[in-house]
Amino acid sequence: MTTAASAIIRETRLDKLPPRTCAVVRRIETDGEEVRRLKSLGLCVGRQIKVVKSGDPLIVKIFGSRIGLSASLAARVWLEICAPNHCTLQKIS
Amino acid sequence: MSNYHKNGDASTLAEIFPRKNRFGKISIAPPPQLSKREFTLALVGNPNAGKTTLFNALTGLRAKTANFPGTTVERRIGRATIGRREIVLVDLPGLYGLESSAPDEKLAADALRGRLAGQPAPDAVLVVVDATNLERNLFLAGEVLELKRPVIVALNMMDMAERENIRIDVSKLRAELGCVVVPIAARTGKGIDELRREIERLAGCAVLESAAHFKSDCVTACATCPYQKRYEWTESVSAKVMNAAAARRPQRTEKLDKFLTHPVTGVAAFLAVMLAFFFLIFWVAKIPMELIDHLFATIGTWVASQVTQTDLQSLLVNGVIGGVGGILVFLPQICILFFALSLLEDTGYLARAAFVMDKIMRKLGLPGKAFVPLLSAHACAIPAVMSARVIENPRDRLATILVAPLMACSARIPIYAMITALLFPQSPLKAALVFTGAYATGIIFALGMAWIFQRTILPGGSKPLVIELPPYRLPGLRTAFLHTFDRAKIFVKQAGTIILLISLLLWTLSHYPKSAPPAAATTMMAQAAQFEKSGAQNQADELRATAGHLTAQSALQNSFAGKIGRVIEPAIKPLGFDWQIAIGIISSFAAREVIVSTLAVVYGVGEDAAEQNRTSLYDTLRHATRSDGAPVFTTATCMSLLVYYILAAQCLATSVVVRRETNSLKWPLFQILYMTSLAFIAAFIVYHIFKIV
Repeated sequence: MTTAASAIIRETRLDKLPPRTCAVVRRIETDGEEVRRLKSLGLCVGRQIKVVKSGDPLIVKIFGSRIGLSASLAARVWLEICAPNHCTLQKIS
Repeated sequence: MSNYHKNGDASTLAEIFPRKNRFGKISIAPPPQLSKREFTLALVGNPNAGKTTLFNALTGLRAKTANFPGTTVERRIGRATIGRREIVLVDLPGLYGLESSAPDEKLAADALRGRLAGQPAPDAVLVVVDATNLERNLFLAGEVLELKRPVIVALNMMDMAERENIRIDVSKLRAELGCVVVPIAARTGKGIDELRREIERLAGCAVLESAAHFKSDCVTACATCPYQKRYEWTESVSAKVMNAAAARRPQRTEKLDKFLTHPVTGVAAFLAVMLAFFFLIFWVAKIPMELIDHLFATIGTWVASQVTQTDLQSLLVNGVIGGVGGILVFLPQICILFFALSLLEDTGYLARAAFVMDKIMRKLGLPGKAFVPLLSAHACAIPAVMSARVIENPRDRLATILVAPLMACSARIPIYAMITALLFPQSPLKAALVFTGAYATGIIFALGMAWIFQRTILPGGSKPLVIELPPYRLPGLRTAFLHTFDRAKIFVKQAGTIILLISLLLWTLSHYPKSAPPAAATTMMAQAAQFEKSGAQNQADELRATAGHLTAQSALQNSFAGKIGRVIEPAIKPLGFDWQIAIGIISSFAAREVIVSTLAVVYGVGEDAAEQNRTSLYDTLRHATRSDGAPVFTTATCMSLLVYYILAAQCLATSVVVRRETNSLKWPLFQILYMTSLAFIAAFIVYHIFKIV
């Protein structure tokens, strides 16, 4: 349900994602304690996320939770912007 | 993230089975039976899921906090009588998943799997799940269920979920998870009785049934990308049991966050909150602190009137009562700080404070949360070091603990007051400038040292920020009270006993060996007796007081402390100090403020002068001369002494707390060493600059 097969492929980095735009996580570069924590918080491949507040640090929304993270970490997360009607997060907030 | 509670949570698994071990030693003990041995239930859950509140609701005051053996990660262990059974509850650190590499989360996962040496896995697991965030919370629940251990899921915050119009079909969730699911609201106590019944039923089972028929489809598929598959599973389960479409997620949190995480308004709000926080631990705490001081002074006077034997009197009054009072006087600050911090964390604000301050603090190699201990250190380093637990990364926490005592704590105020009075008796403005300068020096050195540590002994810099910003909630007073009680207990039990021993040792150093009162004092006493006979009571009293001061002066000068002072005089001479100041430095090694009263005794004004008649003390010090007639307290010596006391680690209570919080002797010793060296070098430089000027 989160695959964006019909969506236009538009890849971007999380620190560059404009606020209020829904995107799907495609890959996360490198590993490590913080990346593992990000993943267990829900920021992992296949999840839909949205930037609530951009900048450094920035706030993203995953499911019902809000997560603050450094821009340096966000730069390691690659996303694909969803087509507007493919986003389930939009409904929630 | 509720790391603060997370760390405040839990204890040694060795402690879990004390009774069982004792049974094993008794020869006529019955053979181990399932019904006889204690049933242990481990609590796990995401930070902010309300795990601590539930633990408190089940155990109350019957909980003990201790570290996992060999670590600084805490857990809480409590006993609870559930039905007719006594069960042992273990509150493990909060965690998001079992695969984490963060030390506290890893320990929690290992404890759950029974991987810790000598510590068996718990009999059953109680997973606390936040009903308002099912998709995320089920991630951990799924991982725990796969451990094939008996599991109860406590679906917490049902009241919040209801308010947000989230409806969860509990029986469906039960079917999906294959284990008991009990909806509760830990804060209001709703559903706790049913949870107790379920725990009792589970504990009473002859053979514990594990959640064996649980299938998340993750066991094989998750091997490749565990996170993705598992989250797909949590999402599908949530979709089946919950009517997410109807959910009204509250807008309150987002609206508040717009303001509180904003680079300008957020920082302003942060400063306002911290100001209030500082006001509480600096000014409000003063009232109970003075009461405690007064109480112990009264007890001391009473004991002194009952015990007339001089040595015993001094030991009881100065050594024991003074020592105990010296420990308990820290309690108001510790209690207020932890109470306020618990509330701040419970509301969700602490995560925002960390978020707002992160960028600035990171430049110094410290995380955003380091602001709390560094600010608290301006009141007292002890609660500051204890509060460094809010920082989850061990490297960041250590860096903060190492530099926090450089901040000007309230014990430095009497010393700053004494020195500014000596330097500028006539100019309040200049005195105020020196005071401000002293505070600024502390801050600059603390931040500078943090920067240096980042580049030397603690490389790597602060870890990038990853922090959950939980929804704003009303804080739980009960949790805050229990947490405060817990911290106070740890301080009194662990730090208190050592501090008392040290204060007794220092008392011995400054009271032994005994020496005969000086000839002048003996003559004065004889004269006083004659005055008394002739009816001149006032003159007799005055002479006796002077004789008393002379006796105390000579006793201190001839004591071990005095001898050590003379021995180390060559070492401190380059700083402009003489052996009499050295006595002050030695006697104030455990508590820096003691130097004021020690100098009063050393210079023959009497200890009372340090308390009641400061001007006479300052006058005496100003006129004090060396053997060659030159004044002791020149501008250069005063400045050097000031700088020394800004930087030196003259507080053993802090060192004892650092030892506990770092679980090592190395770090408190290193801290004493680096701070004292820093103080030495800086005082040396300052002395020579002012000598030339």
